[in-house]
Amino acid sequence: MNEDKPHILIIEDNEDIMNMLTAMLQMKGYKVSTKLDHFDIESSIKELAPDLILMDMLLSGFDGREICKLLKAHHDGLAKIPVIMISAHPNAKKECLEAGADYFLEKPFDMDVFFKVIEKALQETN
Amino acid sequence: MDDQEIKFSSAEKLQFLAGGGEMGRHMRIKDWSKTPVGDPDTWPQSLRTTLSIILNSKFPMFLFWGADLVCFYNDAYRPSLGKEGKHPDILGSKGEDYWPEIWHIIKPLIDQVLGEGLATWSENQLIPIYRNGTLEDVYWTFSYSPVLDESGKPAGVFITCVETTEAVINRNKLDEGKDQLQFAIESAELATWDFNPATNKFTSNSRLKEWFGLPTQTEIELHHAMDAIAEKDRGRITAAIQKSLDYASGGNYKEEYSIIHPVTQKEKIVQAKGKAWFNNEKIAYRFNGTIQDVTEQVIARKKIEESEIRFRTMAENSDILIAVSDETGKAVYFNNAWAKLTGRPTQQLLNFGWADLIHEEDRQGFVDIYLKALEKQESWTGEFRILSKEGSYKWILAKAPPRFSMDGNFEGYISSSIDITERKEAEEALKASEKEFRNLANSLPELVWTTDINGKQIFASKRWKEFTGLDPSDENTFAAITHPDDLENVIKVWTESLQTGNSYKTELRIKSKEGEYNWFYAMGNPVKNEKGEIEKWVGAFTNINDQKKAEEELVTAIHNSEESEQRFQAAVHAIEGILWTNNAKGEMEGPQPAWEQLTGQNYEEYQGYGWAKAIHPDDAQPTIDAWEKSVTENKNFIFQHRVLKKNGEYGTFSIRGIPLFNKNGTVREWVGVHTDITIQQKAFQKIEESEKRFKKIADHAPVLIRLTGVDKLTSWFNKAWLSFRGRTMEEELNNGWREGLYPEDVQKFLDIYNAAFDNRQEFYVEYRLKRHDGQYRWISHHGAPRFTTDGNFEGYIGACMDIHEQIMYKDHLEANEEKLNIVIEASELGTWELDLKTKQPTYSDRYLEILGYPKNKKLSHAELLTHLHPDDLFVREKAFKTAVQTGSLYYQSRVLWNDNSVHWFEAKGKVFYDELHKPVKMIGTIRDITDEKKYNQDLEEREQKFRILADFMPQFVWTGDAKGNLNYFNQAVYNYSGLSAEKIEKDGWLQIVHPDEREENITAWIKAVTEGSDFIFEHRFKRYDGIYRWQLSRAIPQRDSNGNIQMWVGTSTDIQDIKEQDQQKDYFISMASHELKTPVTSIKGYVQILQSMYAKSEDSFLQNSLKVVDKQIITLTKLISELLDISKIKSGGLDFDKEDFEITGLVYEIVNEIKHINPGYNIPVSATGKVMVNGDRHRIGQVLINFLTNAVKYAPHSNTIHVTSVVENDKVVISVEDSGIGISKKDQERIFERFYRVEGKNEKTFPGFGIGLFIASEIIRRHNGKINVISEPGKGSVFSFLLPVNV
Repeated sequence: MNEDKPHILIIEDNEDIMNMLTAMLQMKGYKVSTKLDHFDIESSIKELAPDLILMDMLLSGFDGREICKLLKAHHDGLAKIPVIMISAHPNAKKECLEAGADYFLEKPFDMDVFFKVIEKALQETN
Repeated sequence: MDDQEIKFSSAEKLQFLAGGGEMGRHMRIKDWSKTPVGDPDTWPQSLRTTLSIILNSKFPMFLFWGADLVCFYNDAYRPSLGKEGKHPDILGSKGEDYWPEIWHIIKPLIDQVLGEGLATWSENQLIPIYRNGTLEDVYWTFSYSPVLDESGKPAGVFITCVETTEAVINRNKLDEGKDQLQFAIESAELATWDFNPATNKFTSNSRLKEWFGLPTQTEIELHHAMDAIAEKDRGRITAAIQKSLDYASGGNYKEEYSIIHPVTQKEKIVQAKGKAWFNNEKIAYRFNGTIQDVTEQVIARKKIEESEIRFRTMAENSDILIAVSDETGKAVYFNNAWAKLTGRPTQQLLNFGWADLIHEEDRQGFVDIYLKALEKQESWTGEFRILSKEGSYKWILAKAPPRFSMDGNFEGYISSSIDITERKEAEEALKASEKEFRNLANSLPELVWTTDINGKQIFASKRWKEFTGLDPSDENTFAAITHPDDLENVIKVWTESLQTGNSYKTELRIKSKEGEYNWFYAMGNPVKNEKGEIEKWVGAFTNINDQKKAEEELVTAIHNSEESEQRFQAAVHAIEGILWTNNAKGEMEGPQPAWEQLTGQNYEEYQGYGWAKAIHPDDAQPTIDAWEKSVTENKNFIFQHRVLKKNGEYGTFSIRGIPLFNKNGTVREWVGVHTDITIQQKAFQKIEESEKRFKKIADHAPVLIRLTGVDKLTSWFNKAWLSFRGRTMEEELNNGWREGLYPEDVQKFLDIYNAAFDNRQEFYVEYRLKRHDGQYRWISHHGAPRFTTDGNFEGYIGACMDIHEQIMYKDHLEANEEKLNIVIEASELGTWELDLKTKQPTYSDRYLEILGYPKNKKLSHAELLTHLHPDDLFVREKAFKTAVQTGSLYYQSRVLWNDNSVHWFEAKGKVFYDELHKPVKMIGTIRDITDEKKYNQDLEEREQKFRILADFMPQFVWTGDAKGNLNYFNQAVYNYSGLSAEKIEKDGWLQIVHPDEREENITAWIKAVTEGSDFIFEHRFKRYDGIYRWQLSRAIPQRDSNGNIQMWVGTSTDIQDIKEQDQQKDYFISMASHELKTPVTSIKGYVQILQSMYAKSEDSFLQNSLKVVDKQIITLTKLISELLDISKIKSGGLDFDKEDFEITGLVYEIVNEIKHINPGYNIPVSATGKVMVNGDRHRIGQVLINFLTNAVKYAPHSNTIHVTSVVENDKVVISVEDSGIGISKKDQERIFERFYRVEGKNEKTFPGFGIGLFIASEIIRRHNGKINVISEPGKGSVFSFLLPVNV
């Protein structure tokens, strides 16, 4: 694992999707985190300090949009972490962007498009 | 009476028999010993006492006494036994012997009294007794009481009785009378009353109480009744009652007044009659009488009064004589104007009474005209004299058009006539004066003529015609027959005269009909009117040919002085005139024996200009002037003057002087001739006078007169004509007057005038002529030909009158009748008349037709009734009753035709009343309304059927009128909504509709109604329990044969369940799609990872497998998103993320993408620069992708797809053209529908749900664009969409 590679946090409750995403990102050499303390999301994200968050909109027990709002409401570095939200719901794009997500990807997506968005989001942060 | 005195003394001791009048005496003188009671001495005290009472009572009494029932009675009873009856023998006799006729009646009563000792009482008992020589019916009121003897037992029967025969008879009579009165009261529907002035109360029958709205109690205070009397009448009636109660008034009471029912407020007009009864103190103790309802009569009376007034104003106030005759020719009406004219009551003129008043000479002629017209039922015009009330005859011009009933039956005439006496008289006078003038003119040896003011000849005397052989009407007569050498001069003189108005005199030669010229001396004078204006010219030509010849010879002789004196003398002699000679200077010179002979002047007197002294002073100076002029100019001198003859009289002479010339051309001397024309002059004067007289008559006649010549042109108009026209004679002459002839009447006038003219007949024509004030007035023109005594036609004299009012009136009458006829005919009305007395109807053919009878059928009232539908007889009867009250009739009834078919008719009528205000006649119409009724019935039936059907339907059924107002809902609507019909009626149907859909619902409904298009709408209806359910409503306009919307019929079907299922389905699709996406996402992800990992692998199977999986996943993804879109469209949730973007770039982007996926395809793009649009870039791209994937899919054998982008009129059109299988016309129409897919034998295999185009069209629609397809099977398709360009 290359320490210089950007660190991406995946928040996804569907394990298959999570694994697939992890596989894709690792294939390109990204550092991937998938573990998250569901009881103190903010602290655990702070701790992980990812360069990008990849998050499903609908999570069991959570609403990705709420998490996004929470993060973006912070005045420290948390708010600056780019968030890409993913959903099978095409109409969700508007809501996600409103909640503060930087990008939106509709499931299913093309791998090329996926990487383009990731790269774009990371570039913007830098 | 000695005898009596004796008997009296013998019975003196019988004290109980004292007094008692006649019967007392009879008792006292009676030999009682022979009677069953024996001598009075033996009579018991009880009998004595009883007899004493009886005899001294003024009350009729009778006594039966003892076992034998011996009879006793008193004076008061005595008359009941009558004359020559039982009295006096019955006294003291046995009752049984003397009362055999009644014994069977009274014996039981006597026995009863004697047996039981009780009294009896009978009232008004009929007990006939023998008296006055006969058995009489006698009524008695009597009491039988027992008389007890000393032992206390009944010994006799004491009878007090009153004969009540008279009272009973009177009472019976009264009863009878009462019955009769009651009957009369009932049948006459009278109310009765009986007033007691003492109590101020009255009793009445129930009818009166009902009328006055009074309480039912027996006695009623008068003021209650007075309150019901109309206010306007109350004071008057109170006074009338008071007056009647005053003895001096005689007690009679008769008043008419209105009562107003206190409850119904209905007015009734009544007539009250009564009489007050007075006692000896002259105080009224009773006042009774009756009240009759006269409302109908009064209304009828008023109506007839009104109609009378109307009729009178129409006919009676007219100055025109109006008469009406019936179809038999009998006159049935004359208006007042006739009475005024004839001085006779119009009744005398009725039937043919009028004929007697016609002048004997005219009677037959007119009656012939009338009867002839009547026979042919044609209009007629007649002129006749009628005897006026002044005793003189008046000329009447009567005209009448025939009257026809609506079915064409002749009904007689309505004639209107005017007095044309003045016209006739003027005409006669004119004719007479004309005749006189002509006779005079013709009797003269001169050729006499007249001309109009322009010099055109209008009359020529017989001699003129004889000589010239010409008529004044021949053209250019004058110029043609005048000697060419004289023409210039004549025209000059004549023209000068016409211009100056001076008389003219000249000489000229005129050609006879044999072609020989004769010399004439012509003179003409203007005929002037009172104002001094010339109206015509009268002239006379005197033949001076012989004189002229002699003169010429003389001149020749003088010229040739060699000629013998003898010849000269002969010539002088030949001239029947006075020859004179003057010198060259024009002075009389030398002896003038002829002049001397004529005037008695001697040589000294006439020398030089001395002759002028013998000339009439008025003529002298003009003669000298003219003479000097001739001498100066060396021209012939022609003159006329009066010369004082030696016998002291003036004679009129025509003078002609001729200069005689020397060979060198200078005048040698003048020779002249005086010709005595006194006789001619006098005749001429007569002509002039005659002319003047004619003119005077003509000018003073109140008629417009014009004279026409044989050339048909008018040569003269009288003053009345010119002032009527307000034009001058000159303007009117010839055909100038026709300027005023109403254009429409010109042809008519000419036709009549020319026809009459050619046949020299009288003619009559009416035309409109413009009056001075510009108004066209109707003129009657009577033209009569003028003839000379020897029968030569000379033209016409026309007498005209202004008959405008008459014509207008006639037209008015005709127009009214015509109008009525037209209305009746147009409406196909049958007409009828019903005589209410005889019940005999009269009717038109159409009437019979409507009632189902053949033409000409004689129909009685009774028969008619039998054919009416029984159910309607009552309706009809009621209508007739109402008609009598209100004056107008209206009802509808069915009539049964002979073929048993039922027809409806509607009857209307009006009641007519006679002088007594009783209805006598009804006139009316009937109309066939069978079709109407049938139509209505059909409609009702259909309506009924429809409702039954509708009410059984589970759907909601409703109808609306042409304007879209809903007027019917079936039962289902009420059941569902729980609303009543009243509630929907009141608050409208919209209350059922869900508030969210109301506005759109109204808009859609109005749109459908306005455009007449079908209405389809989905909305929720509120159920009775407040729950809304979805309904699909559809309404279709119902049109009549003309295509006009008559009504709307709509249904609403409950689609709640379908809707819910649909929603569930959509929800399912949406969910399913979403759930599908998650596994697809991971599959796709892994496939792509694998592809990426094994990109460089040489395992071609793996490579291919991954490729196929990837491709299928793309397809699957597309299907899923389409399904998702569909469900969104359905639920209205298709969202757009609209922004301004550049579309050409998008086109290239998409095309590249498709080329990437389908590498074998060649997709050239033709686009025009950058175009900005507003929309959802992704969705628009989706449309283009759909077009392109379709092109790839349906055109498998072609590898070129053309994409073009064009901007036209602010619209960008992007099209995709393939060379594929194409789409049929039928499919093209439906290709944008949901789930529609072109099916084909060979194309079955193409994948997809066929929803791509539906989504595409939905996207384009939502972008305010248009989607389109042009295609031909086998050749390919062009799909395109159009979007507004963002300017």
